[in-house]
Amino acid sequence: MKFNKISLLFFAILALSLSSCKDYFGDVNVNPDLTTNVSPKTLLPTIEARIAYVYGGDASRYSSIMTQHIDGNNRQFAAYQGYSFVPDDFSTMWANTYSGVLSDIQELKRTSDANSYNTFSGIARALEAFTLLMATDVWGDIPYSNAFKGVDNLQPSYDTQEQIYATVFSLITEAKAKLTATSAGIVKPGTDDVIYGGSAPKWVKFCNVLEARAHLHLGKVDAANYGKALNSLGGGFASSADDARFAFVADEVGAAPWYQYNTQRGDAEVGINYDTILAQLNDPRRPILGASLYSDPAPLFTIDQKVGLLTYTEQKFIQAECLSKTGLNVTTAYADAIGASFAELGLTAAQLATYVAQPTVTPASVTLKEIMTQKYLALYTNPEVWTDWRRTGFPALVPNAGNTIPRRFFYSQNELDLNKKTPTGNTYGLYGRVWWDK
Amino acid sequence: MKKLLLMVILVLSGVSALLAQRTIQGKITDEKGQPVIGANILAKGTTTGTVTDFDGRYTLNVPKGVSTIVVSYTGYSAREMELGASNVVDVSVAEDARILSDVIVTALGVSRSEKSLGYAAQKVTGQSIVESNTTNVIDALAGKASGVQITSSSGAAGASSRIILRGQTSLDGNNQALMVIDGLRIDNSEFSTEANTAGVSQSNRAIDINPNDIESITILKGAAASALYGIDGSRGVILITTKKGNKKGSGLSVEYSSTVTLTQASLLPQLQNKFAKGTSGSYRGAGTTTSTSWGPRMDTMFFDGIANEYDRNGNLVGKSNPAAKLGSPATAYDPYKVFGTGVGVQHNFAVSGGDPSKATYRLTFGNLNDNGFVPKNNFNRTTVGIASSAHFLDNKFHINSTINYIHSTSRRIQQGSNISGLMLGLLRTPPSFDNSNGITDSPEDSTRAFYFSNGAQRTYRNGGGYDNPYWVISKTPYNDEVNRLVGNVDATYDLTSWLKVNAKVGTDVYNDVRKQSFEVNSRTAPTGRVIDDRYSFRSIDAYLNLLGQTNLSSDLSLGYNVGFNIYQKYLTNVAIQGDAFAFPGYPSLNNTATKTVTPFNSNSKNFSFLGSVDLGYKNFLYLTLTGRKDYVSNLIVPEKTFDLGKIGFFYPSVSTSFVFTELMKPSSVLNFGKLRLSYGQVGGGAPNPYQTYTAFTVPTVGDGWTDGVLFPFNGLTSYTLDDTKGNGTNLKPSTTTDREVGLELKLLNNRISIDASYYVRNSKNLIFAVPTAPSTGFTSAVLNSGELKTIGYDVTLGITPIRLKEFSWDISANLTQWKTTVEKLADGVSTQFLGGFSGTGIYNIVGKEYGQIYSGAWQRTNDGNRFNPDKDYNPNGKIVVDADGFPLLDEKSNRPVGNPNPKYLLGLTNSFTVYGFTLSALLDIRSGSQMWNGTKGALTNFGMSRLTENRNTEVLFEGVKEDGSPNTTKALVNQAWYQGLGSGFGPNGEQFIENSSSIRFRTIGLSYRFRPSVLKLLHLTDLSLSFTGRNLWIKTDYTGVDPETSLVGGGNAQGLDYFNQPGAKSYAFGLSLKF
Repeated sequence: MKFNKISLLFFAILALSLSSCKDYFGDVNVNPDLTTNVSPKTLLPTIEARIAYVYGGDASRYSSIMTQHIDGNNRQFAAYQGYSFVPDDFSTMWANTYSGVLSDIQELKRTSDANSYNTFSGIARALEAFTLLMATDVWGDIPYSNAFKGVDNLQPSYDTQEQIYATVFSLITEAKAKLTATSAGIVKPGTDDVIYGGSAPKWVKFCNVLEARAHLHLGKVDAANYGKALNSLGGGFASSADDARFAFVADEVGAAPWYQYNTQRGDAEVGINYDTILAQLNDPRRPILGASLYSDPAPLFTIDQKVGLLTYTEQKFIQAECLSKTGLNVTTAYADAIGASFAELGLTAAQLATYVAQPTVTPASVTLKEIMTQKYLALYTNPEVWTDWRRTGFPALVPNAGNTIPRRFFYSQNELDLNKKTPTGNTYGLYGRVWWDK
Repeated sequence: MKKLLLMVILVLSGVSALLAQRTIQGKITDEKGQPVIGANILAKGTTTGTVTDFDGRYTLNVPKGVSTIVVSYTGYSAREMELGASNVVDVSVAEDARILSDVIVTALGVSRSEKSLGYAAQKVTGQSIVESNTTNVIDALAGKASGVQITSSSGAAGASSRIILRGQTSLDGNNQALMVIDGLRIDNSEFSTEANTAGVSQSNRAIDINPNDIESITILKGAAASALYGIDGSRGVILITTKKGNKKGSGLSVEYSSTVTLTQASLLPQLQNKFAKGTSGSYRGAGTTTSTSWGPRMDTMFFDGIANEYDRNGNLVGKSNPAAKLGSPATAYDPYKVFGTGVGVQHNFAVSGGDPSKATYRLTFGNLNDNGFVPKNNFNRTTVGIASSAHFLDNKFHINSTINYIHSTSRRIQQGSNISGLMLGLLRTPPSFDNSNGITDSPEDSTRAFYFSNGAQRTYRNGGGYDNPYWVISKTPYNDEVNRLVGNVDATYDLTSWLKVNAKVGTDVYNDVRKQSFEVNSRTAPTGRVIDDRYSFRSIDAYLNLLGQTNLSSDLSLGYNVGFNIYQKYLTNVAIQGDAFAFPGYPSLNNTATKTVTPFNSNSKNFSFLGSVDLGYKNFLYLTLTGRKDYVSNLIVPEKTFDLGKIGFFYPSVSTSFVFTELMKPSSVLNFGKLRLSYGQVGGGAPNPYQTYTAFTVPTVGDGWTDGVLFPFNGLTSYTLDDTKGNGTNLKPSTTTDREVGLELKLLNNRISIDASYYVRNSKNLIFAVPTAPSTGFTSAVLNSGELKTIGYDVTLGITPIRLKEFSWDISANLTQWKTTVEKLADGVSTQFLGGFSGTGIYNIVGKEYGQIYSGAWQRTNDGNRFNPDKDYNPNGKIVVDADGFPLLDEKSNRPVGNPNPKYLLGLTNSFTVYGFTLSALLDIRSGSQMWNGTKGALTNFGMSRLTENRNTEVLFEGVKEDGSPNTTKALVNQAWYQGLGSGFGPNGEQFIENSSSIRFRTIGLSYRFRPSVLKLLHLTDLSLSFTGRNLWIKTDYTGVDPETSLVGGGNAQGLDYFNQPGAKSYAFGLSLKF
């Protein structure tokens, strides 16, 4: 009797536990300190900061070795000065681009699109286009259409650079459409958009200038792109006030990438070639740009540097180059471009006038060489300059070592190790040319 | 145990003849004629029994119908005596090695006959644990059992110890044995407040167990033994059984023991003391910031005799300096005077009593104050416990309960790779600088030792560099306080003679509150820092079991158990780091300008069904089958519909025991022989919580060159998608499959016993963060991927060469050998970082033994007598030397240069008992392991290692020239060499790999137990005095601290020495009495 009762109880407890096991477990495997659901407002600051930290950090430093904007003089950078790069040198930049920026942008698109937060959707695509363009210009073919799938695709295939450019253009088109549409709900970008404070019109201008930059890169693929670029610039920046800049802050944990590099590593100095050109042209920007790595504090690379992603100055140079390429008058655009650079650095109109009056700066006929040389001087340490040099060959640079200057970055070592679809061979080495580099 | 034995006897006893009740009296003696106190006398077939008194005498009223009495005593053969005409029955009982370990506690706390076990399970007695005189119970197991590897992290008071049973089964997760007390799991975590290569030497939480409360420990080594722990079973199990109330008799017994322990540093790194601070042979004064000791010879220098803040003997000057004549010749200061003798005192009280047939109790109080050999380092533990048992309802309902409260506190010292680390600043100090500033009486309490008058810290680099060791001791304290409650209730109801129901609930709850502070001017945090780090842990482990045993026929016995288990763990941690004090001397979060808060959680719930069947045939053939199905919360995918089927895993085992001697004629040569065979499958732990989904984390945006940008950035809170999990959702627990054979023999009248096992373990589907191509959106994905394989054997040998009435000699040996090989990591992944540094670290490397030391190496011949860059690296090749006679560096920065795993461990105990005196020595041998002497490497750079005493001499590096001919060119080893390729800071870590094999007297003990005649006069039942020495003799080729220390504590990255705190040796004097 007793046995039966107790065993009944025993099995009743068992049965009870089984039937309610879902309740038993509850949310125990959900980390109370980490969320799976974030607002676009809390995704955007990291995306923008990371883009600025890559564009103004690794991308800037490595491309500046190629463009001789800087000379590496110590430790790893002394090796880079002689182009002794290895794939692992690019691992962090690659990871920041893929598992950092682009991965977060996919999340931003997903959550913004689902809620019709159109302004966020537009910003996400604009920044994605910017990032893809930066990446394809240094690496050529890159993963995109099969990327970001985690364990569902551990070996993403590579899109050709041509496909990536098509993606960039379509992202820009989508971005503009989203940015001009009405945004639903009350979740709208504000201070979380460090670049533009949530201004959709400014992001539209950003898209136009970015589109022009992309068209410009493809000039050698099809000369019609110069005209397309000029067309895009019709909706570009009105002044330097429209510049896309990420403002770092005067706080050691929020400091700008070049400031951090100079204070924590300091293995590079201003390129002797760059400085020489400034000196030859009696350039009044030399005490700022040419001294940027000598002085402490560096005049350009301040702790709260506003890292430029896309600027009015660049826009004017794009315009001048396209006008030149399409046989139109470049004089005004050229002078405006130099003027924009002087204004950025706080130089006076009188200094500008004296400078441009020099025939070495403004010869009777301004050619591509002058335009590209001035762009080379103005966009100091901007990765765009390496692209310009690869496209135009101006200014003429003598390699630091060997016979040629690298025209490509290595794919990252971990991508090579872990993704068997990563292209290998000399074409994909430092001296192989990307698709548009003809 | 005894109860079970009684029950078995009861159940198995036959029908007795009817006889009238009568009173039997007698005396029970042992083989030596000594009275046996507390032996059980039972009227066979009844529950009527009694125990012997102090004189071994008993009186028993034997009921009607009983014709036999059974005399039993722990460790002795039970004897059945037919009652004859006489009412006086004196019985002599004999010690029986077979009986001595007859019953053993197995998985879930179930006692089983050792004979029937088909797997290895080794018992260590509580007495032997106490005799080791260790604060940490884990340390006490070293050398006492086979298949066990113990590593103490340091000799500091409160330091952790690591315990591995039969190799590693997880790549980078927990590999330490599961800890179980009285059948229920307890936590043995070791949390780091700072990086595990720095900070302080932490405790593993098993340190909260008072060794004096332990009755015995069973070590379940293989998967078949631990299969009933299912998903938690792959690491092996340490089953602790605590002491309970009276096992016999009904009197009150009081025990008291006290120990005084003197602790000193054991081995210390070998330093040079011939050369003063300086560089290139020239002296740099105490007021300079120079870090190195590449100065002139001390014996060419003189004190000028004018006392100053840097040195009370004055500045050092050369012989030609006129001031030299006024002072005295320079002498080297001894850095090691910072180490003293730590005095530890321990008291333990226990009161136990009760009637085992009704109710018993045991109340305990233990207090330990352990002081380390570094001043102000201490660990204090107070334990209060009660163990009780009671029997109700006609002795059918039994309740046992044990509750222990532990309060432990400690003060610890900064160590390791850390500019506030004690050894780092101490060992780098040139012999020409006195950190104590001449203060001999507690310099750590004198600000004149470690402050300059301008308020800066007094260091040998004029305020810069590293913390003065006395500053470290005084001004960078770490204090912690743990409050812990471990308790359980175990209730059994006997439903029938063959079935009972058992419910068991245990809980382990603790808070660990820590505070680390760095005073303003500490090198680690010049503006001051305080870290407030708080842990709150709670677990519940509850079983409901139906179990019993019966005889199916006279030849076939059957035991069975079906049950249900719930296990839940909750851990919450909040660490708050405050930086920049408003004013010095007030280390409080309130006094800091910035605060960084890091919250952490780890929660899990399991439930499980389990069952086992034990079949026995004619006392010689046994078969055990077990099965456990675990359902674990860690595998729940929050984003998917709950699916019970996907979180449940089944773990089976089968083991057999064949006692072949039962089929043979009794022999005095082969007394006992048993063959074991088992197969088991256990889980290598489910993944940690929260691995099955990808969440957002607070980012750090950086690039590897710089510190980067932290969020909140400029007041903006932001998140990034965690890039480490890979959105992996289809995880399952890893599985360890174990195959084991074993042989047990007892020979020559049980004078020799042998227990040997051979096993092969395969761990598959190991879960780890597998590196992935970043284009997947993730840098790693949590996947089931790696594989480990262990092959090993354990041998336990016991020999009693001499067993006389007043003299006996016992030898026991425990041999442990295993090799765990990394069979697989993941596709495209051949190495895995476990810990250490970027230059020299511990890695898992496919095809090699677990946890190799990886570093830069010398170029070695791999093609005859030459080096060929197109051929594979040959670690056994000869060093290739350049034209100047210096070794060349291998092109790769990562070569497997050392193996920290010992080839074998051997613990050898000899004990001699003569007239109450027992002399016992445990010789512990670890052979074939290597360690990175990073301390020596760094000190070489600084010109402080003894290696650099040969500076500016010519040395022949043995090897070949690049043309393959033997090197004959001597190289000048000077500062440039020792700070270049010859430095530990250079790319070559291989040159600082040393043999860390050791032979030591782990313990040497001498004790005296007073004779019963004396005890009677003192009205005591037991009194003994003891001396225990630990690590008093260590022989090793290693030139640093005790090579058993570990930089990362109990972590998996073993084999690293980078300014490790030294190991300890100790002298303990004990008194133990009972009445």
